Amino acid sequence: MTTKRPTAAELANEERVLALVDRVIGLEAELARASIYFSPTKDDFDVLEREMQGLRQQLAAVHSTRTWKAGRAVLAPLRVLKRGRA
Amino acid sequence: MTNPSAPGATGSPLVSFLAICPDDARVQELLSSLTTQRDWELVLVAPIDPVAAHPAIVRAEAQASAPASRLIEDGVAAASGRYVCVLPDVGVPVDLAVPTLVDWLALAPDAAVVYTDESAVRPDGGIEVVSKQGPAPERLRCQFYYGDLLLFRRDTIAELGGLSHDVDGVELYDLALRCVQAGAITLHVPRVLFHAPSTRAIGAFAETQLDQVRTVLERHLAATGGGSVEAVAADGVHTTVRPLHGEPLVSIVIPTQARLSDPLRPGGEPHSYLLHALRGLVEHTTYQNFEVVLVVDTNPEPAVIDEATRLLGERLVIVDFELPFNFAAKANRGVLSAVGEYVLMLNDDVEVITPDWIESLLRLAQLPGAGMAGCMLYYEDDTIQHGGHHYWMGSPTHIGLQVPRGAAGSQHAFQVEREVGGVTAACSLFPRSVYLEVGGMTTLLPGAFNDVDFCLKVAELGYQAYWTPRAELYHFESKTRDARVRAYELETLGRRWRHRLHQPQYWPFPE
Repeated sequence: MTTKRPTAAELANEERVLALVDRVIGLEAELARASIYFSPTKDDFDVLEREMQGLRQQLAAVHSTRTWKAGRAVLAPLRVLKRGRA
Repeated sequence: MTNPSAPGATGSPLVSFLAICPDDARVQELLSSLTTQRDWELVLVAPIDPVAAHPAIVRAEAQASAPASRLIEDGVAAASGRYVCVLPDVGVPVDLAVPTLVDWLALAPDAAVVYTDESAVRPDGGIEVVSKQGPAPERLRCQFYYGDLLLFRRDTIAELGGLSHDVDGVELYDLALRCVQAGAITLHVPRVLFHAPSTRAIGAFAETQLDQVRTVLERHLAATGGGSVEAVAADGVHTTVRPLHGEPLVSIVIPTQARLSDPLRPGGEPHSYLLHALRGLVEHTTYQNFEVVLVVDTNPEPAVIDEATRLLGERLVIVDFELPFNFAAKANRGVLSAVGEYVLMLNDDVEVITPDWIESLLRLAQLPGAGMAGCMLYYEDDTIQHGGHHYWMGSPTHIGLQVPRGAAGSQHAFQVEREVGGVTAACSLFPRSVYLEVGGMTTLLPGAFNDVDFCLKVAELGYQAYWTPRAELYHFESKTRDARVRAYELETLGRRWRHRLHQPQYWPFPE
């Protein structure tokens, strides 16, 4: 289960992928938090709705990048392993 | 007189309380506590009928000399409730106990095992609230912590083939563990619903029952992935350990400046916390298949690097970090440069105490679904620095802060392996694959709380964190870096995780 140690270029790329995965999970968490703390007054609703739209757009932007797709490909076997274990 | 507990009366589940061989006074005591409530029946398992009369009393004839498991089964056979609860010899369900249970069961109708918080009388006469951890199967193999108001679904008992008859006096612990094995849903009702008129040692057993406890635990471990029973004890704290699977390579990642600090004593030599940690690692650690990945800032002290190289030889990997301080980024670079199947994140200002600390962490990190395992850390004044993460009312902190070393903790929590919300990155072991899957540590948090964020990400993806008292280290907290918490760090953490920063299910206390 060991892997080769990365070159400098590979390291830089993997750090970018790691940061993107972190950002996506973070945005998903922010969305969940915003939903939970939703307030039913119209003004609050508008503010939250705008915030959530902004977050959704950021998420979509991350998901559409080439680096994210590459990262998903790299991590896909891990997700399969996780599902198999659950 | 009508039966207040008639099952059709409210449509709620009926709770059958089983009293084993009670005398008249005990029956009266129970009736007094239950009579104003609904949805219950009292099953008297006794060789002679107590004189008490009540429409909710059900009688089950039994031989007083029969083993406890037989008496309980007689009671279960006579019961008509969806749930049965075997009452201890002392203590009573409090007012509103049954309606509260019914309310919670309405939200979790499939629960097969239910337990609650309770209260007891302290030796000084005061009332002690006994709050419980939520469902925690690994803790359960170390301690029968569910307490006295413990309900089992009657049909679940039947599906499991009834009680075990060869572990007299320990049959309920056995049943609880078998429910875990069967994947039955366990519900913790965090409300004080039982009161005992004396000091209670949760999960304690008589000395004469310890052989049966050992049998029950050995069977449970064999049925749930293996392990061994090292010791069983009358105080209810049992030392059981999970097996070690192979000897995988563990990459110990240490972000460090690799510089010298002031002498520990006036006139002494400059001190290197890193070298102190590495010497302990090399000289006191029994696990041998490890490498050390030092992630080093620019301009390290050459003497420190030289000595680290001498100590570790080919086991040492040095990774340069040329960016401004960011612990999370250093950790990420270290993990990406590591090749072990497991990674042990370690601060450079620690000292190993227990030689088999890596094995103890690995045994938990290898459990199915495990995300990470953490250890017991002490300050240099022998008080606890870390007994697991604690998330309470929006603030993350450590369990056990400044409690003296050796203290048992509430319900022996510092003596048992248990599920936790998270563990500190000062010393935590995790599968490298999990670290990559969650995107490592967020570089948005360069100093504080990056490990809290990491733990919450790991939990969000469905992995469980564990803590063990069997891996002990000193942590000379932040002797080698600035430990101040900035307002933006708490704000950044809260922006993501405010809805996850209250987790009393792992530690039900404010502190």
